[in-house]
Amino acid sequence: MQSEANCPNCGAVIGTGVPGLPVVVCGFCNSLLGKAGDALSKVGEAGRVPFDVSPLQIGTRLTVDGVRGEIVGRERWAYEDGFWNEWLLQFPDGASRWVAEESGLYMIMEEFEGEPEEIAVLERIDMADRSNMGERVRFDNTLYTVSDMKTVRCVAVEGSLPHEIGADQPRKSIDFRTSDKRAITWQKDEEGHSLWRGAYYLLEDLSPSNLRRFDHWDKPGFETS
Amino acid sequence: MSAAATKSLECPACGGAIELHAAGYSLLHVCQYCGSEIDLVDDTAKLIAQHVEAAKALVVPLGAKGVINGVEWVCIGNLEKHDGWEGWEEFLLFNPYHGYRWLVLTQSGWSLGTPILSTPASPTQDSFRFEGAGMKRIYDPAASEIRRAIGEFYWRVKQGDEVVSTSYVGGGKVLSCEMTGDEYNWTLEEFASSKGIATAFGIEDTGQYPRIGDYPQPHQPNPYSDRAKNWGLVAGIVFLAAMLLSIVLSFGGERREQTFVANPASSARSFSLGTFEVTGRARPFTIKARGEPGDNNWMYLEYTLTNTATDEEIIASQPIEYYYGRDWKEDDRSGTIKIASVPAGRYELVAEIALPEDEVRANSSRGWGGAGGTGRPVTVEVYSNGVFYSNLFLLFLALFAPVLWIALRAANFESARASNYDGEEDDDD
Repeated sequence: MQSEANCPNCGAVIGTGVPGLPVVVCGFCNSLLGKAGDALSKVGEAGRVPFDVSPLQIGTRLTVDGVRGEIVGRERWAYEDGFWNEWLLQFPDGASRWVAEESGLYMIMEEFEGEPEEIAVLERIDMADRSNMGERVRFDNTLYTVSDMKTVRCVAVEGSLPHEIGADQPRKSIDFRTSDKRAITWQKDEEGHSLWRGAYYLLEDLSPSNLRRFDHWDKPGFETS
Repeated sequence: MSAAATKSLECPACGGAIELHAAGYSLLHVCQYCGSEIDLVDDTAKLIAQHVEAAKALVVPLGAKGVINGVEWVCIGNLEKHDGWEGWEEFLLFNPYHGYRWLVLTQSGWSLGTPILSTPASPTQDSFRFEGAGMKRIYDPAASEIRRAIGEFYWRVKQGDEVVSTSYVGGGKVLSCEMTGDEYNWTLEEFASSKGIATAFGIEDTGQYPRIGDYPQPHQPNPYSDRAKNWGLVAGIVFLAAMLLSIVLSFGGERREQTFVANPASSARSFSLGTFEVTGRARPFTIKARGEPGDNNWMYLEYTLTNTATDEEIIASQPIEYYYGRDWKEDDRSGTIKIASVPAGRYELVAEIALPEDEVRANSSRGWGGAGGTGRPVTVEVYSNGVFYSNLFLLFLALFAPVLWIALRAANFESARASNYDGEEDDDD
């Protein structure tokens, strides 16, 4: 499915990633490469994703809402008090979701446009900073609780990606959760805001296959073949 | 292809060997040998605070693996917490595919905490429903302090950190909410037996309430309530069977009834109720008498049960009395006598009636009128069998005393448990 090309930075033969995704990372020199047709050009540094024991990897397949997708890329994010992975889950029809993985929990998110009055509420909470923790707000007739507020930055990426990520560009992130595992994330940086909605899952809820293997750990009973 | 599961480092302070089991998740490692804090956020082990504490043996050592409910876990961290009232320990468990769990060792035993994805309620509520169970607040929000941290953690834990938490119990489970500045973290806690944890991690059994601690954990199963129910059921069944049996055994006996009129003027006051055959096992005899001694008068019945073959006698007596005044009355005009166990054989039962006039006559004194010369009827009923309620009562006591005792223990267990809760009426904190 993937075609191959030489990395314009280090010359290594690399896959050009998922068709339709404009960015790919050279696995040899960690250059962030932009795609224009068949041509690759270096657009930045991808950073080095540190060793971790995430059970996900590029090639892991997950089922969300009955549709099976495959992980094709990853962003590593950090904030003052922690870090997490955002895995890009690509579906056969070209749609995609992000799988945010933190402390063994998986939040699967897709972008949406909020109503103007919802955006206004979010802007107000954003401005009020941390004083709104625990406050309840209504989106789409559902009550969400302001449960997390932090400033985040992307530290490294790998695989294929839908955008050039502005490395180390701070971004404000606010999480809203319902009592039934649904969540909304509001993100805002210099370039504007984005709204994401989704839900929390356990890995076993996602019928995973091709999970990463570790020495001395049995593969989990819930992994599908 | 299988990747390494751990990352090795050296403590930058003491050079001790460190194995990271949750690399990429862990933000901080506190060296178990010297207590120095190593920041892991930049993928380089950066010393942030150097200490020279003595290594302490942990109940569950770092790196120890154990299988709980079919899933293997490695112990990666240990926290010592104190809320000003009492202290406890929390062990952080990790599995790359299942995430994190908390194994909590309280004064009274163990608990396994699973972080939950949902927000079951607002921690300002006193009660709510969760997965079909009514959850009731047991601990009001209170601050606890981290007195010591060892091992690796997914946040930057610091000695002296305070966290405010509140707890609810319902359906045999505990829900706890930790409120740390900008986050609400809910944990579902399930009781874990000290024996189970000892077996899982290959450690010594720490014991659990009542062997240790002053009160049971909120979710510790009450060992007496099930036993009380089971024993109560068994006692009930045995008692019912005994009742049925004695009723069944009371069939097959004979019943006779005879009325005799005792004439004061006549000395012939003896009458026979006939012969009875007792076969096989010994049987009880029940003799009921009902008589009219007259106003403020008495009569006296003496029964003789004679074995016709051996002439052995069993004697029993029954007073019949009726006395009254202006505002009192003593009515004993009927009475029942039971002869517990009459061995097999053929018996004749004779009743003899004594009247006050007999004494008058014996004393040769005159002028006492009594009830005059009217005849006084007596009816005697005999059952050559009968239900011995006193025996059943003793059986009842024997059966239900232990049930009552165990039920009391069950109640004590619950009141000991509740004594540690906030906001209870019997709160003695």
